[in-house]
Amino acid sequence: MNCAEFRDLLNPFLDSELEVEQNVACLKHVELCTACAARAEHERALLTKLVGATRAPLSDAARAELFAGVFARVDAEDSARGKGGGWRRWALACAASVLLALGGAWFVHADPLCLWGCTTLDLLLQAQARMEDSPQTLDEVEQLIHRQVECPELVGSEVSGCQALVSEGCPCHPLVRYSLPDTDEVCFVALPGGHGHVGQERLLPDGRRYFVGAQAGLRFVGWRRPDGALAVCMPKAESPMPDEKLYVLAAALRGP
Amino acid sequence: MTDRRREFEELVSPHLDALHGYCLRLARNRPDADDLLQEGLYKSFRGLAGFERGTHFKAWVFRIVTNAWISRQRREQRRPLTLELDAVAEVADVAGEEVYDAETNWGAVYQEVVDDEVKRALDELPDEFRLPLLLSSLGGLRYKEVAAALDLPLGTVMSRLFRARQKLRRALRDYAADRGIEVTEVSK
Repeated sequence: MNCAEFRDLLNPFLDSELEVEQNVACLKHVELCTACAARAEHERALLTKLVGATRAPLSDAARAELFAGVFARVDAEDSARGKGGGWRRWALACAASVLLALGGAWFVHADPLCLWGCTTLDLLLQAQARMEDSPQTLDEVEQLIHRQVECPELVGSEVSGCQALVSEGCPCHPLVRYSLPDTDEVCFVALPGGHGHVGQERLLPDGRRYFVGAQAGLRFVGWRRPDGALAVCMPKAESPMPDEKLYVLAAALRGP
Repeated sequence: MTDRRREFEELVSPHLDALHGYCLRLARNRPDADDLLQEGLYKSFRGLAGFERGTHFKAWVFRIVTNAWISRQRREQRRPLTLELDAVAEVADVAGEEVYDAETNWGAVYQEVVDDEVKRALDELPDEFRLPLLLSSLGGLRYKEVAAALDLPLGTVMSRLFRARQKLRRALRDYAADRGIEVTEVSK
């Protein structure tokens, strides 16, 4: 290893990110080269200085106060949900009754929480149809629909990027689409709350529920997230991707 | 206290000082940092079911705090937080600073600079560099974990870390020189 090669590897060397062989080569080099040894020492000093300067120890009292604040917020939110639940159920029941009165046939197929009448299946079909499109930024979508779009919590480390599509005719539920760096065959979308299950519900051995479906040209695997969002993984319309691969991918996205 | 809350406290406590320092350097002031930390912990607690036991909790919680901060920035600025640099500018910048300044007496620089100067130098770093540097050095996250937390390719994280340290080093050298400290090594 020469000095230029060592310089290229200096940061990962100091951060213990090198493979064993490269690490050994670096160690040998600093034994023989005083200039590079000094440079490594300086970089180490910089990191030590950085960590030392940015440490911000919290007192026991501050820690206790912090956790108390977090749990108080959790309690307050849970309590508000509990109190509001009855009212919401009542309001929903009224809304459902009105919708039933307007047309039973429509109600059977539409999403009862979406006054625009877009079903979960409609939204998924739109998402699939727009897989080739560039997703809009959340900011653009927020400006279009005049409200903020919440990104549901990510699950699965392979998912990255959070952008949105405005679903045609259904401004109440913009799709939040995540990009998958390793495949262009799959669309992974999340419908933030409000949408019901589609497909057939199944049970995993550990008791968790998921659903699978193949209808209207869609194949999908989905699940309800803890935050209420409906997460759905589906391949392109004509994708030859076998179901097994889709299930494996969905399982990876869902996490444990 | 419920088992779930106790478990959460036990998981978080060892990393709380680092998280607090991280939030302080992200928000650059204590009230906002405290809010950010509490929001990050709240989201972590809510999402605890999604944490895979046996994996790196510190990386997980730093990632959630980072996401909370990015969301907050986005809300406040009403525009997407962009962590991408202009590629041409970056290439030109790297080329211009590639040569290591061998004439600087770094030993003297690091001995003389004070913590406040380090914090100032950090605060002045653009987000593109500050975030990977903080996550790596303060959070102790692996490069792969930094890449996942910031939604960046691994190579980009590595180049930004390199650049971040370079900028930090030079800022510290300038501070030391401004205070009249001899930062230039006498040629032998």
